[in-house]
Amino acid sequence: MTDIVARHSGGGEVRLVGLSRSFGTMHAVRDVDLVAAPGEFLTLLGASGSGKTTTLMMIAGFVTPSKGDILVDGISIVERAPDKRNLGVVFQSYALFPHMTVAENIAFPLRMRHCASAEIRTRVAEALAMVQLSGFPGRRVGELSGGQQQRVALARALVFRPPVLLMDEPLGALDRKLREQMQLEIKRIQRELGITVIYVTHDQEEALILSDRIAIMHEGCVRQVGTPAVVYEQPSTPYVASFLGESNFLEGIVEENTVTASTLRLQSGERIAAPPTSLPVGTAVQAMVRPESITLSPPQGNDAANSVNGTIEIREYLGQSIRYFVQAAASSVTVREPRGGARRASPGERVTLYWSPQATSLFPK
Amino acid sequence: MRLSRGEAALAGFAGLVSLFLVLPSLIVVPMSFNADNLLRFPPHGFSLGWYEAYFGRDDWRLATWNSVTIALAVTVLATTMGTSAALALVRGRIPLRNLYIFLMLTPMIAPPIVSAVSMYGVFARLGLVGTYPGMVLAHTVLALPFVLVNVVAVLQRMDWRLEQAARSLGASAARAFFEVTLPMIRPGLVVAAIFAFITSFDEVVVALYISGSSAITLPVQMWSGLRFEINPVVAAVSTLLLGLSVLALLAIGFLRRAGAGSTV
Repeated sequence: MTDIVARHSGGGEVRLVGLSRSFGTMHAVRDVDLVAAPGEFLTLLGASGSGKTTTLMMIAGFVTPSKGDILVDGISIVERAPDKRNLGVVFQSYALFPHMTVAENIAFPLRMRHCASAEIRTRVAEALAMVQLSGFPGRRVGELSGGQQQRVALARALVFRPPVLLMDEPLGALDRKLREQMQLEIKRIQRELGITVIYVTHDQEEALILSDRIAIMHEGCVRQVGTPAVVYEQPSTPYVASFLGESNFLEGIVEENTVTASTLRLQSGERIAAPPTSLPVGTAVQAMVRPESITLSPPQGNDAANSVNGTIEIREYLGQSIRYFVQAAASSVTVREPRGGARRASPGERVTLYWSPQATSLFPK
Repeated sequence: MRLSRGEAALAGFAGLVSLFLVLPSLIVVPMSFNADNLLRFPPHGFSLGWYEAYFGRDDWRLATWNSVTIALAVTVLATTMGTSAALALVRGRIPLRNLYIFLMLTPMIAPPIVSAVSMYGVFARLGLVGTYPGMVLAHTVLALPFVLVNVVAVLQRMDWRLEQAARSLGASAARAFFEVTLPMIRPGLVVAAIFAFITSFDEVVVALYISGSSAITLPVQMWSGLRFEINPVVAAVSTLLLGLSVLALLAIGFLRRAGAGSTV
């Protein structure tokens, strides 16, 4: 296994330039500019129909771009047939060849490259060891479990040492436990090989766990690119905020703005503090706060800083945490508290909600 | 398994229908062992003489040879053309796709006598009547829809990601087809080929017009045997053909099951 790591050429840089694809009048992908650095794990995250899979399939060569360019290590591959791109692809359905054994599946890309049979044997064995399936070379694909099929697909896509691995929702068909196990496995292999991975998923948790950077796609466009922490904590648009995790939106107007902080007047009348903003005073805004940033406490009157009073409507027990829906600031505010929190409030109870001004993101309406 | 009264009645009815469909064909079997030279049921005595007569006479042997060679040529032609057409229709983005499918299926829908008369008109002018190529061509037209229907069905169940995977792994379009797609659809192709063979081998109406006097096939020979000699040779040949059809049906059933297993 150390051999395959040592011999692997490492990761390539993938650069998408103004990449677009329309089907008739429908713009599936619009002007995507994106760079995956060598060895980077970049995830395209979006709902179905956001253009993420179309983008991946354009890189793989199965969808022809309407315009734009795709470069790997500075060389345009957009005119090349899929078999001339030398990129590893793992499909959602695994796409293993059912009429071949595990070893024959993994040997396939090497046979296409006219490797000598002795070399094929050693490299297939290495690849099987890498995905921890050494005992399975003679098995038929149909005899394997979903997780094992996934490992074979991964080995087959890596055995010819491509500089880039493209993965299309590879864990979608697996149950939760197995999915978490495979996430670790994929991450380990990616680090060992130093390969660049472009990964497509609609599962935000998976994206946060695996990625070096996440590109959030919506309606064919990339809305934000950044590390998991940045896209989660500093979402650039309300869509990104609502797509990644839970979020509360409160409507109001910028009333004051200084270098250290701003003050909003909510529609419901309360004033809350927020980070300084580039938006001028008087702008109508949406203030976004994550449910886990909010703390519940017994009612304290209206004088406490950055607080809103409300009434608990619903309490949900979620195992690790408890989720409250609180009628406050003229809307329903979601609050998440750890299960071991100080106290449990009951529906109907009056409460005060607190959060740090820094936990607020502002978007113009 | 216990059947309710309704289910038992239904099973009984289905059995009767099957008998009604099959018995008239099966009646030729005892007739072929008739000891005297009349085509009749029930048979009188037992004899294999009519089988001897079939295998011994030159006109029957020639007709059988013609039928087999023509049917084999038709099988190759119709399967290749039908498969190529099915691939184009299923995978390609072809304008007027449904119109093409409809046109290619017409030989299956048109009354055989209409096909026969119209082909005779064209083939006579081209000098194809009474020739091998003429017969092969005519039967290929008739067999094509069966191949098309079968292969289209198989291709529609095929997972095209497999071919994409092969391409991504470095296979050219041709290699991906021969190494991945073809092995996957092979059972369906064999079924289509069997259909093509049977279509040609059993066909009589078009053959009566096109075969002339020098490309006589087995069904045509049977037809004239029935008209001019009325002896149990025809029953003997029918029995052999019946056996062949049963074998073909069993093969198709087996291949369909194998095909269904491998494409999942």
